[in-house]
Amino acid sequence: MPKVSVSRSRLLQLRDEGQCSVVTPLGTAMLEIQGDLAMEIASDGCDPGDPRVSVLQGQQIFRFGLLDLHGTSREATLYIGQKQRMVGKLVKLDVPMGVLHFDTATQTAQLQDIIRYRLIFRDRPLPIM
Amino acid sequence: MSINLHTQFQYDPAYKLIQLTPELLEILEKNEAGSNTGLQFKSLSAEGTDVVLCSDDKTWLIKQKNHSNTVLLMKEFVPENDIQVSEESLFGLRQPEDNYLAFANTSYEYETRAVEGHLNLNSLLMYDGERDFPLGADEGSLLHSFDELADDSPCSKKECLSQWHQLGGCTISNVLCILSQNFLSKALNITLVSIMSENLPLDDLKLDATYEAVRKGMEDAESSTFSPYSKEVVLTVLNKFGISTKENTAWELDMLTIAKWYGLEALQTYVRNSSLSVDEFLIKWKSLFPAFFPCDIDVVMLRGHYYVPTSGYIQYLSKDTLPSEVKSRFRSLFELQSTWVLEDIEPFIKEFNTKGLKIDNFIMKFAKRKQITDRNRKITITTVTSR
Repeated sequence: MPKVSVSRSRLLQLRDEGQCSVVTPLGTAMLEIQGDLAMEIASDGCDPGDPRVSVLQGQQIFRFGLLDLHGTSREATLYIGQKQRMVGKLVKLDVPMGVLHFDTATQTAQLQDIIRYRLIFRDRPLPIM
Repeated sequence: MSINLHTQFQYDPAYKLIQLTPELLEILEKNEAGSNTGLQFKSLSAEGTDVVLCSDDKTWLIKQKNHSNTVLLMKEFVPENDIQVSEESLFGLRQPEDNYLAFANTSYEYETRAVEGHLNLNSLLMYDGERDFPLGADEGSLLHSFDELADDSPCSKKECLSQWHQLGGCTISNVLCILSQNFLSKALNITLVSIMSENLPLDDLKLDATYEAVRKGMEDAESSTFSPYSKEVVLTVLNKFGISTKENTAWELDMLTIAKWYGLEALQTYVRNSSLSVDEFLIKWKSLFPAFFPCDIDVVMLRGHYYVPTSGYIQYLSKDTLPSEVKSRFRSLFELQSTWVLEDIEPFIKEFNTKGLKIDNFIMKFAKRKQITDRNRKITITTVTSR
């Protein structure tokens, strides 16, 4: 019978009560947008001269937007590119989510984090005036 | 506070989201040393079959719940070089203080639903007391230890063990098998007779003493050298018909389970094809027990295995012979018996109450309910009739 064991070694680093804001104590965040997010980037990378492109641990990464958290109100604005913005909020998940990372080579699943809140953007994008 | 949002050009598909029910959370957050959670995903085969997640004592069915939203998993990071966002891209906000990187985009999450795990019986043989066991069996498909069986079952280990005992699981000639109903009946009978003849305490039976009593009884009964009632068979009988005490070193006989076992045998033997008055049936039932065995019996112990064709009479009814569709099941039951006491019909239909409604509310979807108050005895019986 195929089996995969679940390990939580990363989670043992946690010492407090868990997430109460956008990011978990281990630094993970969940961002949900109803519908597709079009970022207009090629899967093999971008022009290195593009100011939105930077390098992290030898890998190119692309800056696709800006998130503005409104103090303690739990509301947030997401700016995508130059033309769209979305208004959303930080909500508590009905059921907490575990982030599992499956390693097929070792037949294990590592529980990376437990997420209790997500930033959700339900409404249609608004234009930036 | 503003935050720069970045993304990798390719997401890691190895990240999955799983719903954590309160029970799962408790297991994962348990303040114990070591990284092993004891949780394990299991699937009967590599493709197609259901996947379950098992803890030591519980099982959850995993279902993939797809969605069409964009769900980005992001992590905080410190950029290697200073990132300055141009004024026109700031929309009046201050320069971002933090940076998040999207490393996975998930189009589904795993839904977890607590279910009852099931033992995988595919590789188990049936033992009926044969001398040459397992004669002619394919060695490659045989199981030799309970751990192998537990590993091979979509079920937690504790549930496996409980079902193993319930089914009459045994190890004969180092091969895992299930004792046949016929052989188990004989083994139970011989064990009970031996226990009583040796005056062993019914609430504190030890395996060695019980086996010794059985062995002695068999020696007295026949001169043949082969007895199928080995120590393993006696252990199976104790596990199935006893309640383990003192950390599996002693057993107390479970009288209700024993009474039900003999009752079911009586139903199948005496009222399978025709009915019998309840009084006559009780006499027949009692006659199956070893003589002087101290066990109370009542026909309600057998609810879910009989119906009442006419008042005061009962007849065997196997749930397996009834339709598997709920409306047809009710129709069949009312064809057999026009009015049911709520408690009598419940075992036949409760498997359809998947939403966990109160049982009488569930039944009222398919049948009418009538309250009958017996003024002399001041009891209220709820009966159910066809709708």
